[in-house]
Amino acid sequence: MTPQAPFEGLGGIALDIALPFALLIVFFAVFQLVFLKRSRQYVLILLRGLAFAYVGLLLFLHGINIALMPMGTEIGELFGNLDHTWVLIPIGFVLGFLVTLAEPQVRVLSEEVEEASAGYIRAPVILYTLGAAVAAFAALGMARTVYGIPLPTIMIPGYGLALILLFFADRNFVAMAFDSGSIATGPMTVAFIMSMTIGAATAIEGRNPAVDGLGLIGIITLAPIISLQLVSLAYRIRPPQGGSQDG
Amino acid sequence: MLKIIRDITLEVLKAFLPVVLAIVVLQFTVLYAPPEIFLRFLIGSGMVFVGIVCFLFGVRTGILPLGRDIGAELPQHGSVPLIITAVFIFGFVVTAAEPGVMVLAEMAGEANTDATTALVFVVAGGMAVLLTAAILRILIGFPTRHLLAVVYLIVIVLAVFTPPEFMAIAFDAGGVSAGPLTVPVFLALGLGFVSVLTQRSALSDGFGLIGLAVAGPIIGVLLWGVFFL
Repeated sequence: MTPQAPFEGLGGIALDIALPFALLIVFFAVFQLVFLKRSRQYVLILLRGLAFAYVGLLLFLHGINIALMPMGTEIGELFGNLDHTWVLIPIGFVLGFLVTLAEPQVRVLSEEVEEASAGYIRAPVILYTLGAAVAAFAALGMARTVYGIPLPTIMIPGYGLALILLFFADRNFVAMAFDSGSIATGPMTVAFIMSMTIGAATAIEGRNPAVDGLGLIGIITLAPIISLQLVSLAYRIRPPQGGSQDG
Repeated sequence: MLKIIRDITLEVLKAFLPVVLAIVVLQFTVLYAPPEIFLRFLIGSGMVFVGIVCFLFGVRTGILPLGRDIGAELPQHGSVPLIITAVFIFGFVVTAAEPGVMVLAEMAGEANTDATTALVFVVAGGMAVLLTAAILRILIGFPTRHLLAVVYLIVIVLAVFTPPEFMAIAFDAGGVSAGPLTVPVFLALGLGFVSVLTQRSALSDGFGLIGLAVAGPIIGVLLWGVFFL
């Protein structure tokens, strides 16, 4: 490995994510000058936060490209080449759980929910429900790649169930459950779990990576939607202390 | 500031270390990936760790308050056309820049740059349209549940008629378009927006923005599959 290799491609990402940050600053500048008129110190703290977020996102994404993506492909190909390809299913379960808990935006969501519900719904409840549900659905997704189950067989009943639950679940949970669906699958999941299925679909005979490798993210999206709505049924039966705020 | 950073560091360490350890165990038991790939993995993991810590600190002190400020000002001063324009542009640009979207478009476009660019446009455009609809929903006070039901019913119906390859890309696109960039920005925008409207609950009105918005990319790609193939 050449000394500059770890930083290859960093410039491209830096440019890609610069535009939305610039846009945020422009929007804020307009609002600040016309309406908000916040103190100088407030603005400086905000800008410092944006700078941290930018640098952090840059390092995070670049790290994923050079670290998790190639490793995910290696793992997928290794297990896809085994005689017992079913081992991909438990591996999908374990990695699905670990990677979801590590996704930064999942943490942002859990904390926002705790804050918005004034502590009624605790952040860890969301975090671990999501982790467990994603693990189960990642295992299901791996099973689909291994055994060649057609995607519509999973997705159409899956979304059907999500829609039915919509009418029974607590309305405070419904919005959050649908939000969590796509939030649970971030860049870490994409880079890692998706490279694994594509690697596996490439290695397993009779599987087409374009058909059997894609679709896993969509399956995982169902996990939070279904599981959080189910959790809300549990909350309805036995509300935690602190009183209900259904309204 | 130091206390916040220390808390975040500990929390991320607890979350990210297990992933790294799991890979290290695999590496030395069954995987035996080439040493340069493993070395890059270790260096990259260090970057990911430092990156998440900086990012979460920045989200808490910068992006969330900023999004709330803008979200809270929009309904007070903006006319409806202005709100629509602002939210649409915002939704399009932030989604197009969301890193997962580009990764997926490249994987699905199979090295065809036209297909890749077209996919990014469909995804960002779909997201922007539904995000705008979701904000209008808050203004009008139409129940989230009903809008979700209508939108996802459309998804199911389209999914029946679209070729399976497009279906995979469509649902994956929905999943990746809510990532570390779009989530804090749109979540804060929605919660700020709701905070200044009376008789709206943060839980049932402030959330739901992202769940509705991601149906945009799904519907966009499914329609593409139904009509152009």
